[in-house]
Amino acid sequence: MKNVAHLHGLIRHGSLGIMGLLLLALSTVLIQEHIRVVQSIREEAIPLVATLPALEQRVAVLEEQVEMTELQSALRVGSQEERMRVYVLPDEIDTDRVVSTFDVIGDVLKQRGIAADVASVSFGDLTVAVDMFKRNVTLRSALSREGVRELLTLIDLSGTLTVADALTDGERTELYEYVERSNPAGIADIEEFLSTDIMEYMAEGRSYEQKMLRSFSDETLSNAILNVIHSSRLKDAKRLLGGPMGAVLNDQQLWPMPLMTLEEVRLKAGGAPGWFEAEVHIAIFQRNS
Amino acid sequence: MSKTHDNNAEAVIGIARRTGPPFLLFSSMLTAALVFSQTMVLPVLARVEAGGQRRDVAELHDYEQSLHARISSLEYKRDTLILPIQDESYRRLMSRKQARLSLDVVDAAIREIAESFVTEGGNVVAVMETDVSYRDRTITIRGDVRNVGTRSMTVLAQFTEKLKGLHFARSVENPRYVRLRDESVGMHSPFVIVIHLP
Repeated sequence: MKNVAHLHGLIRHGSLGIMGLLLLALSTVLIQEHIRVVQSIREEAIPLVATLPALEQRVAVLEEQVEMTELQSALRVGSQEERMRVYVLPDEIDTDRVVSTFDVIGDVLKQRGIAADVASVSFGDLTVAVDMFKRNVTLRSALSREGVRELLTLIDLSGTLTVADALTDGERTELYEYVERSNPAGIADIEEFLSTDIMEYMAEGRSYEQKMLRSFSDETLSNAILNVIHSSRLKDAKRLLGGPMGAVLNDQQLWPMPLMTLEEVRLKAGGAPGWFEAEVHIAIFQRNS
Repeated sequence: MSKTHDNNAEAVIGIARRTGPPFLLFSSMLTAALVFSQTMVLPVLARVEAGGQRRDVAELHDYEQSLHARISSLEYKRDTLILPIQDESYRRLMSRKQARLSLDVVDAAIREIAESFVTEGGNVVAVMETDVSYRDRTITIRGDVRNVGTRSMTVLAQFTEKLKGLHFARSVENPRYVRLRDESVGMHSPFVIVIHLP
């Protein structure tokens, strides 16, 4: 009897302590949550806040540049697009023009002593290529090592209409980064430079470069921009299209060349050292019209 | 024994009666303060100003992601508008051309390796035909190892091994190893080696 009474007493007076213990356990959880929040502020929020202004600044610069390029784009007269549709990626491949182009190229290389006569130019059937049609062309000729290099460079340059087309995506991105860093408004001058016809650039490259660089007062930056341009395919273009080859192609109205992609190159050692029997397979394209 | 037991029990009950209320009071005050802090104080202190708004950590991460997405979108728009010719087919083909491995690079690299094998008798590895197929992403080299007598197959193996180190080679198929005798050239090993591009 007395034990039961003791037990009742213990439960009645101990219940307050038990409730206190439960509340203390809840407090521990809440304290841990407080610690977690303070840690996340120190480890995440503070570093994030440090990086956000640079990102916001970049967005502002890009918005300004997009606005300027949109304006320039609207004012631009679309002659290069028209030339591209007529000569580079036409509605129908002009096989006569292709043969004449290789004839002229062969003649110029032969005059330089780095190629023999073009032995043959043969055309394959029209096949589907994604959203266009393509035709394979096989060119056979005896060429020196230098002749092979010049021919393949020309095929690589085919379809190029403006300075922009001669630069890779990476090279253009590098130019934009230089502009953003120094003078974002200079994007207008860069755009104008990139729109320059490649043959006009061949004739008066220096003056176009000077015009582009007028927005950039920092000499180191100007040199960096010129370095990108001069180490690009524009260097090869200058060597070939800026010389007799370009002049002849222009005179014969064979520039711009149709866009060609290299599919296969076979080089068999020829009779003389450093010469090859070359078989070059290329693809030319027409629109799905 | 029973009396001792009763005394102990009453002592415990006494302790519980005296400490229970203050302990409960303390615990409930502490919990109330922490709940107040969790719901009213921390949310205010844990927010920082960014982009004209006060944001917590999760919202800061979202804001950072949205800025990165906006930058990518603006860069793409600028890069597209800046080009004088925006025709999709044209841009795709020009990009594809630019990504192609240059034959100059291939030729120079293979020649450098071939010319590293030299004896007093002259060049050892003669590359007679190079076939670069961008369609199949392969380079096929046909040639001959000569001027090293009975070591021609060993040299061919060494040549193949060096080709595997080329930066543009994903893999190199081992050639068929043969040793032939020729009246003018002597012992020699003709080969066909296929290099696979990435």
